[in-house]
Amino acid sequence: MELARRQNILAIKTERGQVIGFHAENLQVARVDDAVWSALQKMSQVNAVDPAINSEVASEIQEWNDEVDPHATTVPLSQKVRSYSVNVSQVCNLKCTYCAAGGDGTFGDKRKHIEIETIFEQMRMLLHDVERGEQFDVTFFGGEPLVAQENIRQLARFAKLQVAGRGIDLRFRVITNGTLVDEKAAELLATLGCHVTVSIDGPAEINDRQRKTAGGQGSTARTLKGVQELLKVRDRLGSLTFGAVFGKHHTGVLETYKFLRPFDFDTLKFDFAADGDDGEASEEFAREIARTADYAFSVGGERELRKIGAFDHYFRALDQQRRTLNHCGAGKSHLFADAKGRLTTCQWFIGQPGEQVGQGTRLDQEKLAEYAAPLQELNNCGSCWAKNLCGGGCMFINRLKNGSKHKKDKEFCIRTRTTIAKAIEYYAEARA
Amino acid sequence: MLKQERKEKEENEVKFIKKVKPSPAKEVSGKPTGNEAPIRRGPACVPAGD
Repeated sequence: MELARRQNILAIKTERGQVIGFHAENLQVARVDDAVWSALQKMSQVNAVDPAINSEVASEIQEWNDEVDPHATTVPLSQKVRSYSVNVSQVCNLKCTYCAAGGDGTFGDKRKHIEIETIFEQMRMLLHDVERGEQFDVTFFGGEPLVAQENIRQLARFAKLQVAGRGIDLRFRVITNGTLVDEKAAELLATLGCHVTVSIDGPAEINDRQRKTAGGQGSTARTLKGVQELLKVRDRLGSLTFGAVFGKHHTGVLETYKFLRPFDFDTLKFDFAADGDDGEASEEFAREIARTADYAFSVGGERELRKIGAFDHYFRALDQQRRTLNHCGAGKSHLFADAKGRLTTCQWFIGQPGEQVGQGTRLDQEKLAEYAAPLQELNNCGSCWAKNLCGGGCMFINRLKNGSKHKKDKEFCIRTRTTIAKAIEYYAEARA
Repeated sequence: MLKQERKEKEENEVKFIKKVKPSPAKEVSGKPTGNEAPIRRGPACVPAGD
């Protein structure tokens, strides 16, 4: 895949030789002639109109570049919390090699029991501001959340009571390794209509390498047993997602995709665990995402491709022509509580000095104000062509790689742009 | 000139760039995950409240 650009207009030359145009502000996609590709290549080199460029082509490019499409909109993300994640335990029965929760699910502060009264009050405060018709998400996180099923049951019951009769769309989510899902746990999640994400990185030979029990045993067989229990209550779950983590330890996205594809899921989530010196792995991951997209589209077209969450997200944004100013809602629409009700904007900031933005029902407005501006602006995305689909990148990765939440990680940018370019390529094919 | 005729004429004049039409109503497989809004409200790294 090759790219050429002038101002708002990007041209993507695909490996199949097609040329796709993209307007970075209007979020419009177009099939374009080879002449546009040649012209944009020249234009991006000289950054001016070259006399050798076909004037009709240049004028058409310029006209598209200058177009302001009223259908393209930007929806600002205000500082109203509508997504709340809570650690219902800070212990885990697994010890994954890449664990970002302190290496063992404890976030450096092992707690099987949470301060549930504090969490109740916090939920009450956050739910108090939610208006009729709005959606509010409660995500049960950990550690492994299913070691604390009673906490999930009690917190869910409390949240439901808070919104009873108020016309609020309350949704529950859980991120689990699946190993503790038996009939009883599956029934709990089904009763809540929970949106369940099971973490699994691929077939046993891959997954067992990095997702081990504390005793060093592989966890795949137990996870798959849990998945079978979830499939029995499938129709009562909100949705079922598989989440796979890649990184320096594993970049084989296509292999993982082929392994997971036969299961009856709604979405696949592929994440890259950033780490120091991960440039080579990141580039291979990006290539693998592209190969996986090629494969998915070839076997099932748009429907199959959009089962991969990232592609679904970009297709929706392109269909709706909505600019994304924020990669995520951290510190705006989202807060995270640890087992003691200490609030951070992101789960990966737990226990880190200076990152706490509240405790219990007290919010540190001064600290939250630092998150108010759009991430695109805070992270200096400038004229990046992908910024309106990316939304500015991840503060956690920026800090991990560069020591500052707002200093962009170039590897993140490369793999995000690769994925977005691939999404644009197939969007053009699907909508042609 | 009628509006439709003008639109068609404009479309015919485009020689090198042909925009594809968005299809916001497109149905996809699978149940909605609640992450459908293009503005992410929750974390991007775990599927919570996009």
